[in-house]
Amino acid sequence: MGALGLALASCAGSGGALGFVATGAPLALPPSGSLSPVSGADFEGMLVGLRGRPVVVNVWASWCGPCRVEAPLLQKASQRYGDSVAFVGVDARDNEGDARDFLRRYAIIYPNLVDADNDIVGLLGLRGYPSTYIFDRNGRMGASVIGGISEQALAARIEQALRK
Amino acid sequence: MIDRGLLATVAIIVGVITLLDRRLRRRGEAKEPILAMASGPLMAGLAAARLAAVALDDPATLSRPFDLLLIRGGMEYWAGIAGAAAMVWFACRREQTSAWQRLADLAPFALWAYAAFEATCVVRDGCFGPSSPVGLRPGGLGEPQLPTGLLVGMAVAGVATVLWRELPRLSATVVVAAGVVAVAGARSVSGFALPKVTAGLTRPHRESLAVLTAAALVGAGMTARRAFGATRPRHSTSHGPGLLGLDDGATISASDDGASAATFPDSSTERPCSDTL
Repeated sequence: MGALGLALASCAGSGGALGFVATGAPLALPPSGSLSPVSGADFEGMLVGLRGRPVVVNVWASWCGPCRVEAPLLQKASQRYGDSVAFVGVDARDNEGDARDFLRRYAIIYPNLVDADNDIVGLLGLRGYPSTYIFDRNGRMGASVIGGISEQALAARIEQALRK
Repeated sequence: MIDRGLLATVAIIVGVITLLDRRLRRRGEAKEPILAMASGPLMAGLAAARLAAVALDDPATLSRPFDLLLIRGGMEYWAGIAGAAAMVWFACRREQTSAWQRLADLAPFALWAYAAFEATCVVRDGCFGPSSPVGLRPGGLGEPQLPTGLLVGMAVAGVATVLWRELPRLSATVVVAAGVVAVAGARSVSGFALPKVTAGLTRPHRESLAVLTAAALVGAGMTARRAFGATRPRHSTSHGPGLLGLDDGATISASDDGASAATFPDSSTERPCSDTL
């Protein structure tokens, strides 16, 4: 039954560069509510700096419909888990003004990065918008979801990352 | 990006209903092609479900017709049911036939379709649920989870089968009410079992609990009315507007063995509406 589930779940929008581990010197995240342009190397440094707790990375764009639907869920989850789980948004291929409007509209206060040179989406192996990646406490990408993430999918993956 | 899980879900639901329909009609148990009978309500239900979700979650999208079509962006389940029921009501009202009877005819198929939808969680997301020693492992999860959707699907399919078998012996109101209670009950129970990020109840969970409570209250009221009515001589009584205000002008005839049948003012026999919705 488990093998069947695994095989069938492969149709379910999971993907991305599973197993990816960030390297480099640790860097601090930008402050809450920010929208800062960063390079791929800086992004990796931020992931290294967040080791010790699970990290949820959500790649979004203001023009993407499902991104608008899941934005309130991610904000709610970031409030629920507080400091025990880090949430980082990555805005890619977007207009800065529209992106700021997006963050204001959905009252998103966790840090957001701008992938100005498309380095971050390359590192993550982005295959579609939105995509959500969950890193475990050791900085290893343990799960990814392409397309809008459901509350069940997000909660189950975060809870598992917290238990590891 | 093509959502393969959603495509597979739609294909499986249509396949299940088509197979059931063909089998039942071959055996002479079904009267009309169910897909033709259900296509109008289905479209109305999908539109209502999507519009309600957009209006509640992202009203700005109402001005973007293309985004409205992104059904993966969210659907409001009970708004969809209400939209489909309204479509049946309008069609039957126009034809001066019983909306309740049409809803009752559709109910088992709607339940089988819902059961198929729940069970296809295996192709959409792998089926989430509480952590369990046995179960499925949705993609990216190391621990097995009790496949809540699959279990809900099996339970609802069981109710649909019982309703189908009992259809000739039950009144249309009972069939429709039982269908609503089955789905609201299944969704209410599964809402407690599914993982969530919110501390309290989710909106879909609250809605299903509200529908279940309302159905229980209406059921209690009907039972009380029946108990009160049992002290009077048995005769045909107009049942007036139904649960959803669907006043179809039908009457309920109670026989000595307690079974009920719907009849219509201009006909001595039961007259469901035709398949032209």
